Amino acid sequence: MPAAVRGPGELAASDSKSRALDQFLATVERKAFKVARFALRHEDDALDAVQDAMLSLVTAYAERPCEEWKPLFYRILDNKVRDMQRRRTVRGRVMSWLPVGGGGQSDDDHEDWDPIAQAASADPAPPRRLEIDEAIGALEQAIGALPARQQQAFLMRNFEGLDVAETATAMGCSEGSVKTHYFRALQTLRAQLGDFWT
Amino acid sequence: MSTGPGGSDERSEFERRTQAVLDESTARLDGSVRSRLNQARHAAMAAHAERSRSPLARFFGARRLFAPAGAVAAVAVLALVLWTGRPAVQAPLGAMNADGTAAIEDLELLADNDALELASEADVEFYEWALAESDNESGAGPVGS
Repeated sequence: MPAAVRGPGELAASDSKSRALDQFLATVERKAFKVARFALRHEDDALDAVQDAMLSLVTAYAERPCEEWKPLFYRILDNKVRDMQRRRTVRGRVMSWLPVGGGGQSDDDHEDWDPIAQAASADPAPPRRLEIDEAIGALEQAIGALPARQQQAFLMRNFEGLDVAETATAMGCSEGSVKTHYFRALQTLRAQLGDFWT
Repeated sequence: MSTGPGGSDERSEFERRTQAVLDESTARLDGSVRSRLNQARHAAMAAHAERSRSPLARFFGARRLFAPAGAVAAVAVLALVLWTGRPAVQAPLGAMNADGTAAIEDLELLADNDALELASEADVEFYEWALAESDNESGAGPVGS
């Protein structure tokens, strides 16, 4: 905002924009976390990526029209995820040179182990819940095994609900590529999940 | 989403089911993750609020950091002004130097407790006598001449 002092109208518009932005982030945060976790396979890294993407969106793109936020946000998130994957690759190469600590359980793993959380529940889950749990597990495993671009196209289109053009913006590719990646992802998932899903 | 993978308006049962399952898994995210996402959102909105403040408000916000130093400087300047600009102590007429300021000896006298008591009693008759004596001396010429 170039003006030094804002009028009441501008302040009201700014408040309205802030509310819209907050609402947008609240709507998108959980799905964004799932998308990031599929790509990174690590909860903390996924949370960091989502937080970074949120910060980048509000600091650099908040003034853009609300309709553009979602594809922009996922584009930013995709960049964050790729950065993390690159860093992880470099770290992996460096760690492979170190003589110890490469395998086995670390102390942190022992500290994270919670016997109460690991204990079986006295309440058997109802059959319906078990069925859903199995479905979630199978689908997430199948999505996790997809090639990165197919996985991304599938999640943007079928999970986040972006259209082809928005998905192309989010993925930084052409609409034709989106359609191809999505079609292949569907084929692979159908083949893996079988008749139960069709 | 209103269109299918090829841009058609149809979505297969498979797509609908996978979306429903993914939505269910999202709804089941555990509390700690939801809490951390909430914190991340609040942090982002705080950053946005900071950025969207007017330049004037940001300027005065920054000035608040300098408030303690400014207060100290203001007090020092005020003390200096009061010290250098205080009115000169009015000494008796005969005790004034040619430029109207009190001599150092007079300041020492004034600082003396006895002298302060004398001054507070305001012995007008004494001052009148001292003035008359001073006039007499100047009119009679130097003593012993």
